[in-house]
Amino acid sequence: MEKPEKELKDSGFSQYGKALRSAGPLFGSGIQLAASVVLMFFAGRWLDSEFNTYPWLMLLAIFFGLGAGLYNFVKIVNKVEKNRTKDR
Amino acid sequence: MFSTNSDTSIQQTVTDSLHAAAQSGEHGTESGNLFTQLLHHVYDSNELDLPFIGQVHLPHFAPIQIGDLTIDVSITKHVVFLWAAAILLIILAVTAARKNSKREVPHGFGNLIEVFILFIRDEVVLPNMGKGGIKYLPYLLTTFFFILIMNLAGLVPYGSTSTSNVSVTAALAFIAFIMIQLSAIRAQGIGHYLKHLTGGVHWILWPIMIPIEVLGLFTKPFALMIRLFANMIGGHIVIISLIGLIFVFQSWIIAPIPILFVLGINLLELFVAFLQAYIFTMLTSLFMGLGMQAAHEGGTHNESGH
Repeated sequence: MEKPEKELKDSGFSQYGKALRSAGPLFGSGIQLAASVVLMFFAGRWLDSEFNTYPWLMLLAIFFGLGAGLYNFVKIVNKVEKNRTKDR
Repeated sequence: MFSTNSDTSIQQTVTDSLHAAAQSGEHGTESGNLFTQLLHHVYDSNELDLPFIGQVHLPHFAPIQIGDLTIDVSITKHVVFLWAAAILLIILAVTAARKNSKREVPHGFGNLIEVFILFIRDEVVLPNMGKGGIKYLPYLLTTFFFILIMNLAGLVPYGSTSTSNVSVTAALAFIAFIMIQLSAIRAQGIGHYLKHLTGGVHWILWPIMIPIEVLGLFTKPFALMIRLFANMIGGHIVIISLIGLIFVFQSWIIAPIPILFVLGINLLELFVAFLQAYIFTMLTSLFMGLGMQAAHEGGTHNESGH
C-alpha cells in the first residue's frame, strides 16, 4: 500500500502539533479549575483580614471560585467540542 | 480551637518520630538529613557551585522595603543562571543572524536556529493566530528560546534550572498575561474587549458574570506558571531522589540500578525541556489567538443577536 505524498507529510511532526493544538485548551483546564478556587481562597482570606469577618467572606469566595471555575471549564470544553465538530 | 489542637498534635507526632529516627542510629539520621540535603540542590541558594573552584558565595544585599512588602534583591543561583541564559540567548541569536545573512542558504549552526524559528512560525503562530500573529512572533520566539535555554541549563553539570523557581515562571506568566490582553485589545478595540468580559448575558447578570470572566483571564497564565514550574522541579526531584537511593542503601552494589533509571529519566528530562518550552509558547499563542479571533466571532455574534 502506497500512501499519497501529502498524507505522508501530514503524518509526521505537524500531525503531532495539530493534535496538541486542538487539545491545547484542555491541558490547562484542570489546573484552571483548581486555580480559580485557590485564587479566590486567597482573595477571600485577604478580604476577611481587611474587614474582620473571618471566615465568612473566605467561604463565600471559595464557593464563588468553584462556580466560576466550573463555568470556565464548561466553556473551554464546549469550545474544543465545537472546533472538533467544525473540523470534520 | 479544633484546628489548633490537631495542628499541635500533628507537630508533636512529627517531632517525636524525628527524635525516634535520630535515636535509632546513624542510618536514620543520615537518611533524614539526606532528604533536606537533596532538596538544597533543587532550591535556590546563595552559593554557586563551580567546577575546579568550588563554592562561591554570591553577594547578599539588604532587603528593600516598599510599604508592607519586603523584597530581597540579592543575587542567587537562579538569578545567575537566568542572566546567563539571557546573555547566551543574545549571543546565539546574533551569531545565527550574522551567519545567515552572509549566505544565501543557511548552513550549520545558523540552519539549526532557523529550523526552530520556522517551526514556531509555521506550526505554532500561523495556525493559532493567523497572519496577524506575525507581529507577535519576536515575543513568542524570545519566550521559546529563553525558556528552552533555562530548562537545558539544569541538565548541564553544575547547572541549575531557573524555571524550577516559581518566581521566574510567575514573571514569565505575567508577561504572557499582559501580551494576551494587549493583543486582544489591539485586535478588538477597548470597547469590544470590555463587552467580551460581560459574557454576552443580560445586564442584570453582569455583577456575577464580570467577576467570573475576569477570574477566567487570570487562571490561564496561572495554569501556565504552575505547569512549567511543576514539570521542571518534579524532574529534578526524581533524578536527585534516585541518586539518593544509593546513599540510603549505603552500598555500591545497588548503584547500577538507580544509575540506569537516572539515565532514562535524564533523557526524559531532555525531552521535557523542549516540550515545556514548546507548550508554553504554543498555549500563549493559542490564548492570544483566541482573543484576536474573538473580534471576528464576536462581530457576527452581535449582528445575529441584535
